[in-house]
Amino acid sequence: MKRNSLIIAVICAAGLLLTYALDFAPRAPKPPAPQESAKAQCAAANPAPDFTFTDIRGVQQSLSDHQGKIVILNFWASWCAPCLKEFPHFLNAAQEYPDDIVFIAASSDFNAPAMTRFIDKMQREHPKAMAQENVIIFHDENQAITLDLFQTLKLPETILIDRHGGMKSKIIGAEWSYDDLRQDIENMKISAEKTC
Amino acid sequence: MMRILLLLLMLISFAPSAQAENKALSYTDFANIPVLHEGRVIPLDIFAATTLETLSGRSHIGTSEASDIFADIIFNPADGAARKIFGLTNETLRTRLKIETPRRALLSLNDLESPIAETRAHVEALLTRDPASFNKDERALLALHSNVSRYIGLMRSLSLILPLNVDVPAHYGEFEENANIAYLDLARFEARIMADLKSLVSRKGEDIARYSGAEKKTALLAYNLQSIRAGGAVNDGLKIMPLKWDAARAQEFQSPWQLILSGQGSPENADYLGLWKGMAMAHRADDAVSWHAASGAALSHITARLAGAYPQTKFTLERLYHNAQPYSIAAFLYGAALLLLLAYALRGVTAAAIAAKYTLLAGAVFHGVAIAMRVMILDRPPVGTLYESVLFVAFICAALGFILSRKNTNALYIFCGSFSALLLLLIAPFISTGSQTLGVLSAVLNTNFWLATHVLCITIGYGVAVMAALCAHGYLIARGWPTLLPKMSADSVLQITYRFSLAALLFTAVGTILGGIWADQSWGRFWGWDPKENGALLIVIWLIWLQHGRLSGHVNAAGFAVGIAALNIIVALAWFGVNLLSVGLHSYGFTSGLAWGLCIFCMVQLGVIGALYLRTHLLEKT
Repeated sequence: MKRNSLIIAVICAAGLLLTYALDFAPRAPKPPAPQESAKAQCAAANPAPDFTFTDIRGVQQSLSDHQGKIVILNFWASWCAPCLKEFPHFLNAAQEYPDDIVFIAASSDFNAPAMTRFIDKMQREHPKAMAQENVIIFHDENQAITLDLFQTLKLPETILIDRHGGMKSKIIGAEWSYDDLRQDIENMKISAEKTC
Repeated sequence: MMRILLLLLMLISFAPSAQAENKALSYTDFANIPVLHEGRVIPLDIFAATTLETLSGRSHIGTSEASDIFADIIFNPADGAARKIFGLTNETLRTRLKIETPRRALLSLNDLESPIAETRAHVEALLTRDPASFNKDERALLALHSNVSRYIGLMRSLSLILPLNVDVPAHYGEFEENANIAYLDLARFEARIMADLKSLVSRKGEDIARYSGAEKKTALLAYNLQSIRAGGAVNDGLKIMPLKWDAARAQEFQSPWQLILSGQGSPENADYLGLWKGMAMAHRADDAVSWHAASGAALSHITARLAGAYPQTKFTLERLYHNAQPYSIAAFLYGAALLLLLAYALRGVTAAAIAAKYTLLAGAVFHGVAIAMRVMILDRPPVGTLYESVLFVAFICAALGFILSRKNTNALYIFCGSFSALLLLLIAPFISTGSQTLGVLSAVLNTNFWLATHVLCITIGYGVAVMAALCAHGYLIARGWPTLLPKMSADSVLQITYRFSLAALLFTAVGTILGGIWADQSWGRFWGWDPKENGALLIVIWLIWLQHGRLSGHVNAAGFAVGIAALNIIVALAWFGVNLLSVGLHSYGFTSGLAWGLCIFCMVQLGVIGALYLRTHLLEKT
């Protein structure tokens, strides 16, 4: 009987050890969360690849030129109805946060006049925002940036890039409100202030 | 029919590879690339092996490695229709489909094209019925259609990046001859091509005979692109791309098509897909140097990105588990122990019994190591599924058999341990839901603490109960045939039976109460008269009833032994039987097709117990 009790005790102890090993034992450290990583150093976590383009004003620039500001990198085309629906929201954001954000819109249009027609329309409807320096539009005619670099096939897609050049999140489609965008921008501002 | 047509069109669209045979390539790095399968990330060679096993019904196809065949399927889809890959052994179905090749011969997509088309309506009708009502032939037909669909999905899985056999009109871009143009290269022109087609149709209508040569090329290109995209939209067979943007789904992988069409693309995944294209091109060209570089780069890329989330050591362990087949070795050893016992029984050679004891120990060691490997691979206790519980109970039986016989080399206990463990290991494959038995856990059980307490406790109880029942059989045999177990007194066997029954009562009772506490936490009630709960309670009540009967003198030794022997039936009903009811919250255990097996088992058990009791009773009378 004593021996059997010992066997039962050993089995119970093994069960408890197993539980401890699976649930409570220290595990290999996980990679630090983005914020913790940023605390340690201000280098970008998840850096956006740099690229160069010429905007519709004829100015050649790079994504890295805008480091220090939050970049809204939007992939769109004039034939994509949801893209046209969300475009004014980005213009509003550029207007509301002129010192904090840069709105870069990469058009995949195969038909340059169609793109120009839409831009003209935006200039009529949002003249102040379209005139701002932080609204940058360029024609990515062969989709070297949209498709090859950022793997964007389903328009519209928008990547939010923090002040250190790190890609923070992606907005897929146009089913979102301006308040959602504003919240994302505020979070990125707070996150940047906290970490550096 | 539409899917078959789409497939054929797609196969025509794919450019054939330069080399058909790829014998000189090393698949070491390719084999280690992670892929998501049934909710778990596993190395690609294991995915390849389990997939090919599902399609062909055999563990090996020819002499080629699974990775080699699999690479050929995904990188050279143009050769896929003629590849002999499908196993079909159901005679009724073979006759119905007019398949005249030998039963063991594998079939190709070409062989199955007409039979699949002819039986599609029947399959669609079957899908509206309750799966529990399918007979063996209907299940075989459904499995064949499912396998064909899965194979087609794999062939299409990289259609984003594989070279197409298409003629691109010059005005869409200057492509060099043999430029290996893929869908992704043409996707940038897709909106323009579609706009051109729309304009063409509005000007000239849909009759292609009225189109000029260049216009025909545009129409055909548009049709090809649409077909490839339509096929890609439902393609989720090869989940190799880790999700990047959604933190809540950070552990998920998607197929290349899913990733891009759901807007989950990213610069990292663009690079990774580029490396896959490099592998595809090298494999198609049978270029060992480029293949080695591309597969090494792809593995390095994904390993760095996953940052230790899926360590290669775990992949090595999984590969070892898959290749070593430790349960087969354990079953073989249990069988060998039984044969040695037979030799002991026939010849009376004690050395045979000792050899049987250590053979049982060796089996239990392999068995235990296999269970430990499962725990390490799955990061959870080894009792999360019905299949796992069978493996675990078999181990408990083998371990108890050895522990009891370790000093005196008692043949009865060696027999009980070996026999029950072997029987359960033979049953286990029929309970597993597929070829990949390292399945993902049902959400209801996904709590390691409760798996390691409640479920472990209950399954240990099942194991001890099975051993108690077998010992009770042993007691009845010892009483009925006193010369058969010469070295043991019937009373000592009864004593062990009694102790086992007490231990079984302890584990099942504690396990049942722990289950109630878990149910209270998970479902907000301690007890809900769920069939599974009732089953566990039934074992407890049965054991308490027998113990009380014995203590109060209402049940004599033979009656107690008969009751404990019948515990096998109670355990089987509580363990498997309640799953046949398909009701209750314990939905992780529902199985089909077990009813007859269970019924036969119960009848045989009743017969055996009745015969043993009758013999004992008659012997006592005379």
